[in-house]
Amino acid sequence: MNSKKRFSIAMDMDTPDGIPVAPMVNVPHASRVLGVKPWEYVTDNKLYVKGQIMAQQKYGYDWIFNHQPIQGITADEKKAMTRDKDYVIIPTELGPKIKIPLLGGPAVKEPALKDYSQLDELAMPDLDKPGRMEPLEELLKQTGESVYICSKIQAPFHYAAEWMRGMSDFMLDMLMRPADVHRLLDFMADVAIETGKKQIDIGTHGIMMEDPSAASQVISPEHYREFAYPYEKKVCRALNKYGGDVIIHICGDTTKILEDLAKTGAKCLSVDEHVNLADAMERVGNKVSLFGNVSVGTLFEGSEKQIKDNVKNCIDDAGHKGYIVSSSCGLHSGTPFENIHRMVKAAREFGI
Amino acid sequence: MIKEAIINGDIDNIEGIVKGALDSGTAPDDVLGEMIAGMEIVGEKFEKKEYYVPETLLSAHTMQKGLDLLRPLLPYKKSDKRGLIIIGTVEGDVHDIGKNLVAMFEEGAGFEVHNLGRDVATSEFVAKARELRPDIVGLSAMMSTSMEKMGEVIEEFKKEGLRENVLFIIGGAAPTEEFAREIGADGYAEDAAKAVRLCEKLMSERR
Ligand code: B12
Repeated sequence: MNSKKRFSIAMDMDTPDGIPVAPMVNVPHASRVLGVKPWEYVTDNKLYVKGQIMAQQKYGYDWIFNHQPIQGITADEKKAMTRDKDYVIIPTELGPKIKIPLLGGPAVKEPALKDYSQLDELAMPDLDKPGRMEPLEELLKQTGESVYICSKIQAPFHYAAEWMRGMSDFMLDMLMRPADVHRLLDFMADVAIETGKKQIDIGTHGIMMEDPSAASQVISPEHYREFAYPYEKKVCRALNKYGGDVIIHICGDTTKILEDLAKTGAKCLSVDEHVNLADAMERVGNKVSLFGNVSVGTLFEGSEKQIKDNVKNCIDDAGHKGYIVSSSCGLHSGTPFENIHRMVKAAREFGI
Repeated sequence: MIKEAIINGDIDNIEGIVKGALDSGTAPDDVLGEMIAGMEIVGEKFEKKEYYVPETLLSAHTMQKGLDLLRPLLPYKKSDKRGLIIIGTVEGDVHDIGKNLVAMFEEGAGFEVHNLGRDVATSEFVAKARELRPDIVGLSAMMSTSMEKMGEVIEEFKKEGLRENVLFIIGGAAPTEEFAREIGADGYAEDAAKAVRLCEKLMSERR
């Protein structure tokens, strides 16, 4: 059975020949595998594709995480990017500026919306710009037959909070001007749906929608249900209808909102180490498959035995059906290569 | 009333409520006391997960709005009484929700606070310390990777001859009390309410 098949069967809540393993290999890690700086990797679609494929072949895991939040980089963005000694800053199409440091992954440097009146000027990003979907096209061409290609979109709540408005302002807006917040979320849902549809058109096997700002360390389950859930659901349902499979990923605690997440239309939930997999399987395992949650801290600095035990515990808790071994979150920069080998090895050993 | 307004984040009415209290003869110091008592309860609710980030931020903003009215009436300059704090999330780390709460709580408790933002370069902490001469420097880090920067900041202050003038406090999801000792920080607090108590303690020891 090849990796793509193995991953798809687990997504479908069934039992493949072995549990698939799919660490969240992100900018800091893939660029190190490739031996280039993070910003070189992010700002060159060819290097990006090469890094992802090299990492998959090096470790032999079952997926490729096409993880760029704004998809491929375009010529305009490359021209507009500014470079400092230690980082680059890229203005993105909807306005937020992102910063890619020497170590670590991209992060929002400057959110876009100073004021909600600016919302009327926002236009849907042009997904047909040359370069935008180049990484996905290339990944599919080069490995799409045998490896599961999963592409990222940002959930409306997270995109609105962290990228468009800035987290602390957005948190207050939720209480003080909920109507504006919903207007923004509606727009971000359209962006997510259009992006997902484009990915499906090109042939992505799955979509990972990330909503870390909706974690229960940040907002209450009630606010999750009011501001995050309806839009997650809107996106999932639209993409389901279009033939897409969605994994929702939230790093942070989701224990109290698992049942809601399972009702969004997502096929699979990616949970952080705050969530107990046995408990999650019992509560929502009949509706969705699960993905997670080997501690990124342990992968960063744990011993060989700790990593092995962590993988084994995950499998003992989740079982073999409808489960994919992954990291709890994106890998820390500096996570030793050896530790990812250990994770994959343990998953192969205990996943049979 | 004032206390309740803070707890409930009654940001639209806080000015009227504070004015009303002052007009009816309540001393400015007592109004401040009420507000701080309210914020303490907010801190407790946050710890108990009755409040999440939005509710807590709203209360903190309500307090700030009340303070703006009160400040000119207080007999002391806030910096005389409590001390000046600069606070930021260390370089490479963009988690700022918790750090912003700490900044607002400290401000609510009467400290003068300069919030340097997130992903703050070590050199920026040094430059701001030179410029503002703070009593306390607060460092926040949420990741095991960025946590290492905290030690670097303290070392840099030593190199620049600034270490003796300031007290370092640290916090965030990654560091611990033990880590704080290891890197030679003066204090650690695990949440915003405790951060206020920590600063009060450090400042009184200093005098
Ligand atoms: C929300 C969140 C995000 C948001 C942040 C948005 C923002 N504007 O801040 C986003 C999505 C951007 C994000 C990104 C990432 N995140 Co994050 N994130 C979280 C999450 C879920 C909640 C953090 C939070 O806001 N908590 C609520 C606040 C109120 O609590 P707090 O921050 O702890 O603050 C309190 C105290 O710590 C203290 N305090 C804080 N600062 C200070 C300072 C001083 C001086 C003092 C005295 C006290 C103090 O008082 C505060 C108030 O009571 C945590 C989960 C967790 N366990 O914390 C992960 C978490 C911190 N993130 C994590 C990771 C790995 C990441 C990413 C690397 C993910 C990735 N793969 O891309 C990126 C990093 C980006 C970067 N370069 O920084 C990991 C870190 C793991 C580790 N041990 O290193 C965590 C722990 C999740 C996990 N997987 O376990 N994240």
